[in-house]
Amino acid sequence: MALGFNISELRVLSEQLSEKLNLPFKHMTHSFFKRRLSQFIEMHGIRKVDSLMEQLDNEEFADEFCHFFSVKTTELFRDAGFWRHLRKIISEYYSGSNFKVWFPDVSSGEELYSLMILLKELNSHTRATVIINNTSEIGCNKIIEGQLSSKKMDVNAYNYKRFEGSHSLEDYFENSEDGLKFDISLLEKITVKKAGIEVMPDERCDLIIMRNSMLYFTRDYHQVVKEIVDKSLVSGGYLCLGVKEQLASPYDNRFECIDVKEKIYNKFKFLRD
Amino acid sequence: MIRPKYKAVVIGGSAGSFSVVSKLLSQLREDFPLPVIICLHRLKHVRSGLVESIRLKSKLEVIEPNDKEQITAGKVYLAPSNYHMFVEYDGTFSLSTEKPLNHSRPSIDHTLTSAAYVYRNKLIGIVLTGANKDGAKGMKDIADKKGVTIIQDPKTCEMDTMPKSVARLIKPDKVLSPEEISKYLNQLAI
Repeated sequence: MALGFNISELRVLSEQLSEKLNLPFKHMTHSFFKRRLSQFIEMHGIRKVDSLMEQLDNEEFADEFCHFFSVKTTELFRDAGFWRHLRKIISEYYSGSNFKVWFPDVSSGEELYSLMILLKELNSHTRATVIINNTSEIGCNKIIEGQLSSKKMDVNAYNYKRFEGSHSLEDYFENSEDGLKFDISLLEKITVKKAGIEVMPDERCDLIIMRNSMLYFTRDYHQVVKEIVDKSLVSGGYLCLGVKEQLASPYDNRFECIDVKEKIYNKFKFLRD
Repeated sequence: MIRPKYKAVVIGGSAGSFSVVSKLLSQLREDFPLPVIICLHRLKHVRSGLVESIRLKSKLEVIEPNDKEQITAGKVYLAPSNYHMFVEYDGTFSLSTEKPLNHSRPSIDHTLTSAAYVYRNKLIGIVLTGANKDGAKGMKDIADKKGVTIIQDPKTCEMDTMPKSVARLIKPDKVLSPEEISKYLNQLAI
């Protein structure tokens, strides 16, 4: 059990995992890494670190491990105020043009589906190129399959009502054996990359949605990610963080926070791309 | 200057705890030398209102921290709605959207347990009135690390399930009324 590890043992293990799986385990916050590791180890009845490392040589097992570290519990239209503001931005600035959206770390489908519903209701879904990164094969497949648990549908419907959507949320889902299935016709043009947060899209994007992705990483790593985000966003583009996240001060001269409550940032237009 | 014996106070509460927390903060000394970390069960969709209400009577500054915010002595930190709040070894908070624990996000157990691992025997843990068992496991972790454990006297609780759940797992160091808790903290933190 991870509870038996001391701080330095956990640090060594996180470095080994980073090297083995090419993902930033060593940059995860201590409490998060310890918690997830201990849950995974308990779930699989693993008693020794050596045994874990050995099992990680198996590709499927390694993929499951990476998938487990991705926090999947969110809601459709979580923070409805954010989605209302995003709708306003898209309808004001991108309604007549093609535009690109990047999700550097989509853990589960809800944020993506929320965006696609928003775009569909603005009739902008065909003009948007959407790229998503997810760290595991399992995660990528689940998102594209559109499966959603029906358990959270009450919360989702309530959020959608607060978002003031123009349809009924049920219009975008059909019943399936495993719960609900999202209208996958809205996902046809999505580019899904099995990749970590550091793998940038080929071209700069107009909008980057990265809400609550950085919560699980250290402050030092935030700087790395912010540079990646800055490089991947066009001047004048928008960056969306979680409502309790913030950009560090060195970025004050590159971004303006246009919504303090919902943490929406606008990259200054005069900056050279 | 005398250094306080403890490094932090962590408080959990649910049904009926708002008025207890308000009163407690109004009675803490203005120069209270420790951070006060509070996790209350709250409505997930209502992001504003609670911290503003708690601020009204508090002599100390009350903040809903952002992710990775530094923990500072003499400030009160309230777990934001719909996020778990953890204490990290580097003296910051980490927030999380992981699944609810004990049907709660923020979960008191998560906050208390993380604080127990960081502050160990320099932590004062308090569980107030509430209607479920969230906080009991966290208080056990504080007790295991030799921190001080206090529960609100069940006789003074609007709902006594929460402090009684703690008492079923451990023998708390103190069972106190809200007035006694603030008095005790004012003396203990010196």
